[in-house]
Amino acid sequence: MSEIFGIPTQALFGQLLIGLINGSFYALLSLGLAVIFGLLNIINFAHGAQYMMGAFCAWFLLKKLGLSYWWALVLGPIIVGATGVVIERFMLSKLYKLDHLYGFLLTFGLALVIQGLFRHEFGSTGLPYAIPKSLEGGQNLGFMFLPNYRAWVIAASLTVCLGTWFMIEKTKLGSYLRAATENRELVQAFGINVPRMITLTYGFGVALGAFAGVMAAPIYSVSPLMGGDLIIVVFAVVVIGGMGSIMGSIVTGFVLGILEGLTKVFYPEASNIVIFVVMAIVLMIKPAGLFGTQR
Amino acid sequence: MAEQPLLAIEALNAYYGRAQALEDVNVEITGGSTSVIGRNGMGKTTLCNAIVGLPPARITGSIRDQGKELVGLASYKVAKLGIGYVPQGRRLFPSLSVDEHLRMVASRGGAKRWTVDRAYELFPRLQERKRNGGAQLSGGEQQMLAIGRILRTGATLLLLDEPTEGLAPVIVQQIGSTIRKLKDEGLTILLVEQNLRFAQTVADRHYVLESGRVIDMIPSAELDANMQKVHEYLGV
Amino acid sequence: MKVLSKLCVAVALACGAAAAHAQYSDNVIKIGVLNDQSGTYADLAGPGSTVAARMAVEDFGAAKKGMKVEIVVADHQNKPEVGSSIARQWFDVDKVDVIVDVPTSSVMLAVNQIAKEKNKVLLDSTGGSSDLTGKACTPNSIHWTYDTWALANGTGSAVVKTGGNTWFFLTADYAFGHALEKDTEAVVLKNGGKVVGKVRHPFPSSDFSSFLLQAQSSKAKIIGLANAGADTISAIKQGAEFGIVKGGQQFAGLLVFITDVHALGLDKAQGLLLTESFYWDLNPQTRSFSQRFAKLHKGAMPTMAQAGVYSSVLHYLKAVEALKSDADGAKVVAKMKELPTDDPIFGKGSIRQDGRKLHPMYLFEVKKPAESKGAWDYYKLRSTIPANEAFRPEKDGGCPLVKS
Repeated sequence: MSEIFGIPTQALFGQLLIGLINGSFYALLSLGLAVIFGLLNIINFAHGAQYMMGAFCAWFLLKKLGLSYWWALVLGPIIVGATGVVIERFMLSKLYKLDHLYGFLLTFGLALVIQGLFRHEFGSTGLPYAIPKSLEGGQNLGFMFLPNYRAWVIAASLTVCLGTWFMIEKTKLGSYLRAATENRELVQAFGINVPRMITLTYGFGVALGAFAGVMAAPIYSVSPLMGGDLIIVVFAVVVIGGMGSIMGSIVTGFVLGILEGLTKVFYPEASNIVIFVVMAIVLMIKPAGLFGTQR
Repeated sequence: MAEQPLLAIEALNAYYGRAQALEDVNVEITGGSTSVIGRNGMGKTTLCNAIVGLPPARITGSIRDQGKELVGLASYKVAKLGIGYVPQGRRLFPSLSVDEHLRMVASRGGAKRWTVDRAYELFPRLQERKRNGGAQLSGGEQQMLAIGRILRTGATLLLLDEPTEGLAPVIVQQIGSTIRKLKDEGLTILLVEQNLRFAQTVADRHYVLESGRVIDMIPSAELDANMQKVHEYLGV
Repeated sequence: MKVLSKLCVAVALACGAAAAHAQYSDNVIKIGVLNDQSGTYADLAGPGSTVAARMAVEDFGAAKKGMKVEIVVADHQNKPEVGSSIARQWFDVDKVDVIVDVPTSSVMLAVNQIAKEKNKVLLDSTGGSSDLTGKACTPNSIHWTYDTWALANGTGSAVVKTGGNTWFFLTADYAFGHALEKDTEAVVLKNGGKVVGKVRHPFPSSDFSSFLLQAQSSKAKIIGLANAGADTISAIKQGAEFGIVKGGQQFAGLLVFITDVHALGLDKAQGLLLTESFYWDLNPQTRSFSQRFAKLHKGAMPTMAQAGVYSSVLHYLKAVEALKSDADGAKVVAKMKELPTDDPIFGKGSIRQDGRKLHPMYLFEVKKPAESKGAWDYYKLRSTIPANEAFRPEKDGGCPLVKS
């Protein structure tokens, strides 16, 4: 068996693939953050909590209403996105005139409140959520056993990420968004209801987070803490990719997932800090992030 | 022509904090082409922003579009009434292509009357550069795009803030003939300028704005007779 | 960008700055429940431990006997530095006499030193490292419910004896995981098994796929989970996904609480072997205690950790009553060692010189979904390990208190 740095190549392939799976979540979450940051200029610290809400939504739909995973995949983002719309409309929108710090403080506070409420209600161990029947089992790829569900995660995440990228870069709706990112007032003077657009954009960004949450439900425990653990890493991904850069957040998400996967083979103890090390290095060399432009 | 003026600005005041930028401004637009002339810093752009409902000044007084009050209205609603704004400095979007600029702002009326093709007909230069980004155009092309873009919204009253600023004389002429052409098509023009010679070729009446107040109104026909006075106003 | 980095620092500080609140009081027996109130270990100990402590005070009848007992609670967030500062504050300022529960071995060992320094008492129910009765033993602490040696001995030897003789360890990278791995490895080797590999994962972790893949390619028959709580749950859950069990490998959960099984669901947990010192459905006493507990704690049955808190608080109060004083921590602990223990949790038992509370341990197997009669009916008893065999022999621990 051939080896690279003392690790069998087969095992290495497996780890690369696993990195890609984790990267799928990073990409989805950082994409949502990037979309929100682009238009609202707000770092949405509630993103982790909203991701967690997506997972709980899936659990709740199954447990209380008997709706399957596939329903949850559609309804979860819509429901959680709607709560995002409410948050923007009645809270965030009041803060645009103030320093961005206030938007951060609000979303951070919301994250703590939401997380606290769920923890109070559901405890911290987590609730079980089964993989949908049609995605059970897996494929033996020779170098590893790839669970079908994980393969689905990669495919779905790539589709949603690229779909979002296409929508923003290539459609009329996206041109509103890009224009409003550059000059919100002027776009408004062209007869476009920008406040509504901002509301819906926030809702959409939140829905992306919730989508990731529904996808995570069968893999990780559905637990109030699941978002808090992940979100710090995702912030690092966004910073590395460049705040507000759509493609940057997608590419960085996947690449860092892989990088983290490899670290787990070569030096597992460092696997939870490797992304932050990369962040520190990138910030030293290119303060605006890999794909970012200085504002 | 309707009895009611198309746009009536009455007793308009604008403030930045405590500083007053406009004081008791009264302007009436009844179709055709009107200009507001004045030097830099006299409140011209503040006036434009007040009409289309953009921040940041605080406004009191009244601006009525065929009787409908605009003060306090969100700017996207003002735009829907048919008031199109071509801001000073053109303000294109660097990340949007020429084509996207023309397609994004289309509204029901505008899209029918001013199709993308017609906009290209009016400004053939733009067609050649249709894939280019907003930031890659020359000043003249940018101005053409800014005008083309606003036509697509279906605006019937065009608000042009210093359209000749920083442009070569040849281009200025071209813009002038475009504006006259639009006037002939029945659009109402409100031109805000410090370039009197240009305003003269385009507008029928000229309001003179100084230190936030309208100090005179001179019809184009009487302009020559009053040249001495106007030059004093403008400090030429 | 600058703003963002400042924010991150602010967040880090905010998260680290939670502190305990308690009131000054004198002439009162003050019990501090120090555990993870909100994180990975909050369900297996957490608020449930507080419920158990309150039940003990009530059952002891403190009020009737004219003893004033107060309970204070704090969240150590599984961080030794947070736990230490709370313990110091409690002992120095708030006049807390005894700290109970304390999961997370690294925190437990830190608090242990402080209890000795201040001559107070530590009754540890949920912390695992067997070092508490080994080289770190003090005259001020008792290790109550279980320890890593007992778990390794119970599960490890049972598994090796039934043919699971090659092991791969998935170890939480901190004191408890290391201790559990070390103790289990010794048991595996002693019984003729082999350890073919190990990987240490960050604590806590949410994604185990990479580590599971390494375990899978090691071809070990048994994957020993030297971790606890949410980490164990995630590892088993994701293991099912990667076809670990279907591929012929088996998990050995070295520390599995009933709340973990509850979270996993019998579907995923079935067949798991585990060692515990308490199960709610053992006998009439445990059943009646547990049902009372469940009524006070959202219908959840007590874990052995929570039950242990009850047992330890009850015995502490008995000793204080006998001494008529709670002033001298070491004296109280000495009295506790002198008195025999007796409660509905563990039955009759005793406490050794090294601070080890003795009672039987049980090897359970998780039921198949079909065998379960309903919620919380999860375990079948495989064997009982008598008290004198369940824990590490006193002479092997290296505790300086033991005179040989």
